[in-house]
Amino acid sequence: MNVSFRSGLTSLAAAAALLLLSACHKNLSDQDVSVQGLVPPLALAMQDVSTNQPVTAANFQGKVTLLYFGYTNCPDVCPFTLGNIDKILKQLGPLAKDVTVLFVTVDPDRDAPATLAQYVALFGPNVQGLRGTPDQLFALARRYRVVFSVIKPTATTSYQVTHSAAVYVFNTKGDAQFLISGLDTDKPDIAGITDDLRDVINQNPHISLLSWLETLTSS
Amino acid sequence: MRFFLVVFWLLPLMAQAATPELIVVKPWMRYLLASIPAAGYMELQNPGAADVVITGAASSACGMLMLHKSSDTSGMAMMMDVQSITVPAHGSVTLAPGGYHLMCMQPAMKPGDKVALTLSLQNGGTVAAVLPVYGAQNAP
Amino acid sequence: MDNSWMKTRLMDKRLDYASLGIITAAVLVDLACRFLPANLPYVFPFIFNAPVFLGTWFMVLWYFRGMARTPASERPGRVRQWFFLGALALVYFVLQTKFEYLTQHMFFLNRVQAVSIGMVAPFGIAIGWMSEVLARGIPAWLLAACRSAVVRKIGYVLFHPLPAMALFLITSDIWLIPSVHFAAMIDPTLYAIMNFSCLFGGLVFWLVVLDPRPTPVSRFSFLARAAAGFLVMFPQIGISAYIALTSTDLYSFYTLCGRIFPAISPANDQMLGGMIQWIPPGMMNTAALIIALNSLRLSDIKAEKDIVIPPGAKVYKANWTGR
Repeated sequence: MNVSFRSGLTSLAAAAALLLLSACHKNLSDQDVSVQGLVPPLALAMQDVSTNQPVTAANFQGKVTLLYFGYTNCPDVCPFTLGNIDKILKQLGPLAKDVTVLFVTVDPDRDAPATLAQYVALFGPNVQGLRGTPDQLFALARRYRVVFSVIKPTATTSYQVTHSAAVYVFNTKGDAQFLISGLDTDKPDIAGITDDLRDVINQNPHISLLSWLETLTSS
Repeated sequence: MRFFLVVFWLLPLMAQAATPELIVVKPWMRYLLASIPAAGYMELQNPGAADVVITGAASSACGMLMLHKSSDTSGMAMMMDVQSITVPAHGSVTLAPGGYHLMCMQPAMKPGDKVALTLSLQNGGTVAAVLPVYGAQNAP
Repeated sequence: MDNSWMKTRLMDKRLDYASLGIITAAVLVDLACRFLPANLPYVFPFIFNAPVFLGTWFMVLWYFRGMARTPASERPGRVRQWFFLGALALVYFVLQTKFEYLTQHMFFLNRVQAVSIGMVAPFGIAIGWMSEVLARGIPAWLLAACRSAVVRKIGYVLFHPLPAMALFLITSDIWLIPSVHFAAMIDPTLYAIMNFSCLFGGLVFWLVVLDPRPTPVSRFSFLARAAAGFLVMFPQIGISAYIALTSTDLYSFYTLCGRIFPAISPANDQMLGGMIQWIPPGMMNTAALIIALNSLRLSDIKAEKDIVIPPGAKVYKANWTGR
């Protein structure tokens, strides 16, 4: 990763702004953590399993994008998380058409494109299954500080897959907005997360500076 | 009326005789695809004075049934085999998404079905349950 | 002064093959890390970092070149060589191997990394004290830059015990403010700045504290240096102890992005991390005190030997030299 002086300054400024603004910025849900200005913009190169075509971040420009890592042989946590995302999308109503949920498999060996396509189709039209080569998956996970491991079964142990549980939210321009945590826990704050997501959908990039100034004076 | 009263009087005795050691509340199953394990959930209440230990489960609609536990203690979603689940005396254990669940390895069912399964207990007893099957989106 | 190495120095004006090799290797490793990261061996970087990669390999090159140009009688001892090379290897291991993946996803391993680059490695480099060897090994332009007025002025300010202490404390502790830590862990650029500043602050500090030269050459007395080495221990211990013992979960990044060893709970992870930067560095500060006082003793012995006592003179003052 190239460290240019300018982007370093930008990052420092962003961190400082984050510190200063955390007190007066509109409060996110307890389950959402702002990563604005900290996380690199959406970039990926993978295969969309529904069309079998290669996709990059450019394919999702203009959409609010949710990025989540999982695998299809996950009968409990992944469907529960995707189910909760589905609840959030239903709460958004017509706005949900501007949202794409990317479900990236961390277990491409077992998740054949057809299986993954069938799996994501169960969770509605907004969810797209992505499958990459090990290198593509590695690069994407590294970019977003995502942990995953696939441990092949032995004589005494079963197949074990672990993956980060958080969901990244990117705005229509591909800039990271916040991380949703705990969508796999008992009682997620569906209403709060929906509000935060609605704000991202309604973001007008041209007046973002103005609205930012507004937040300074409003509280 | 008298008949019902008699039954009412007999209930505790019958309970002891039939030993329904666990009460199954709100059972359900999430089925996704035939190639993907289905997950079974329920609340188990133990009205007795002794802990009840579940050591296994079986159903003709599942091929193999396993006791599993998902956890997200450190931000990592992971799933582990569990040898047994203990329902404490006068207490309860909930099998729910993100925690304990039954993993139905080769599901032969479809949403709308009712799946019968049997929990086997450490003391040799069994508990029967019938789980309505839901799909990905219409889980209760 | 022996100037024979100055003649060989004239030859390395153009880019030599070894340097060219390092630069080529850097480009290839960078490309491999970008496009074929999944199956690279463990010793390859998790995230390629040009300054660290080039910095360590060029240090190794210049060190060996400098050694070759140093007359055998003037070469530093075996122990000092191993301290220096071991420290370089440690920096490389925690920053440019796949170990870094672990340090990004466990707080206690992140502390292992921070203590390695901010404390252990600079300590080893300072014990090694390779300034003369490196001066012979580095290219002429770099030597000239090091001796330029600007660098000397900056060095004059930084290599004073007080700024060095302040720099050391700031570069190691600012990143432990929870919101700053979160930002540094999730932002790749800030992350690189964090590690670089840790290494830089540690180097300046330990080069001041462990300077083996006596006072007329070094600007500060051994006692001042020993005090600097010892005093920073207290704020460091205070901060580390707080991290280790508080029940507040300070560093949400690890829970949010996932711990690589989920079996270690957030509370235990934080406690372990606090302990790692509490106890071993505390021991090192104490060691630094002993080393600085020992240097004082050794230079006193040397000074005493150098003093020619005129015949018939009476010695009124005896230095405490422990003999």
